[in-house]
Amino acid sequence: MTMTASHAHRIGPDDPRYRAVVDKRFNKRFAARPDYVRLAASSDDVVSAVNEAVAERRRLVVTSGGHCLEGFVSDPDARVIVDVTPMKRIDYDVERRAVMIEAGATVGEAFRALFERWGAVIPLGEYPEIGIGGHASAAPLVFSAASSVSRPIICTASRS
Amino acid sequence: MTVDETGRAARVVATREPSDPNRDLWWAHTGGGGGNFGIVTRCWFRAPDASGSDPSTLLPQAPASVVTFTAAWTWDDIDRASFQRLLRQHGTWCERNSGVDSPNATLWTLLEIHRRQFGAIIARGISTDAAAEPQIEAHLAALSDGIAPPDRRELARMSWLQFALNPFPDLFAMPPGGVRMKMKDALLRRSLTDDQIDAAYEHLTRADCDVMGGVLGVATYGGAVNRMAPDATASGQCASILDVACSTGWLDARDDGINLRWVRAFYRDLFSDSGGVPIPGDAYDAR
Repeated sequence: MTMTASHAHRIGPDDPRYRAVVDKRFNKRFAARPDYVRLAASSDDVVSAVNEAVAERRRLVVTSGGHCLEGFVSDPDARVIVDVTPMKRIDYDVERRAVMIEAGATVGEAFRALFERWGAVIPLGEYPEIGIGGHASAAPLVFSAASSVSRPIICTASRS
Repeated sequence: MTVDETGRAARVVATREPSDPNRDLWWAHTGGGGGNFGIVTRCWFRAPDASGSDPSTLLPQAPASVVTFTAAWTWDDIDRASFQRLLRQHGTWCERNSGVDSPNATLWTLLEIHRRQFGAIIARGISTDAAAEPQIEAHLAALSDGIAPPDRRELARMSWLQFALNPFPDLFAMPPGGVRMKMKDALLRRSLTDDQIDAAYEHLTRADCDVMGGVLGVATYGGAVNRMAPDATASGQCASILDVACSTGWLDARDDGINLRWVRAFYRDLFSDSGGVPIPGDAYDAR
């Protein structure tokens, strides 16, 4: 059995990894109690996790760094959490002429790889443990003043 | 990764290219929330104006080094008049220095105005400027003109990577087990009005509630982010000069009510002229 296959298994409340995923919640006001979590190590894992959850009509949420300020992931109604943290590849994609960062890499891991390989920087946000998956798409802001990109800090969601 | 109407998951690449049939999906993901239209498994990055095929020129280059600073006032030195002066001077600085080509686009700062019961107002920031130290001193001088100067200040120069991996350690320090928190913010296209500054003073000094973690964060905004046309990306906020955040953090679930009431009332009063929320328009880019 490959690493990918073992990651693809459902992880239930009796597995110590379940708590590690559920308890990443940055804001302790919110807590999820999913039926199981899945640690996705590849896009195939994500596809299989989604197909499974949709077929069984279980509501699914996704997490990476666990830094949602609101209860969008740590939602008691969520039945499955797909955690993309094992997906951490960072590479230059020659065909697309762009640097590819997988959703499970943290901001700190991305900063280090970009700097060490190419002396480069992307104006990513404030805290190194934030995951790229949520950060790049839901985009909090940044104090990365590099190359006169001065953008500020803090926060995305407002549920009031 | 998206799900179609038959319930089957499929891998999709969605880009900003106008010719991409999936461009709307890229737009939706970057504007409508990361988890609402599918699962993002990877992102590709390239600067908008980049050419060639060398990754070190396709993205911005890291600065040679950075300088961080912290300065603090004690609330004992700040009365209503000095508070108004500090916030007005901060707003004026932002109005003058948020342009795309401003020489001060190399400086980012956060004014962290804790509630008076906490005792301190803290300014922090980072500069990538070659002359960072005088730039920071000039910024602090502009803020504190006519009021007590900050009674502590610390500057430190370090490599970009050292900063990036551990930025502002005391800003992000967390107690074991983490915190409960609530934050409500807005992007402003002009500085706070006198009425807004008065509302902030009331909520930051009111003694009828115990909200030790309450803070108003006022961050500089602008520079390259305002170079983009508002309709070029799903982040249409491209004319802002300030990011303002009302927030509070606490440990005990029994304090949920008092903290949430405080932060919601503060935000509502800050934007009372537009119904308690920052309606996008001349004053606010909202979020």
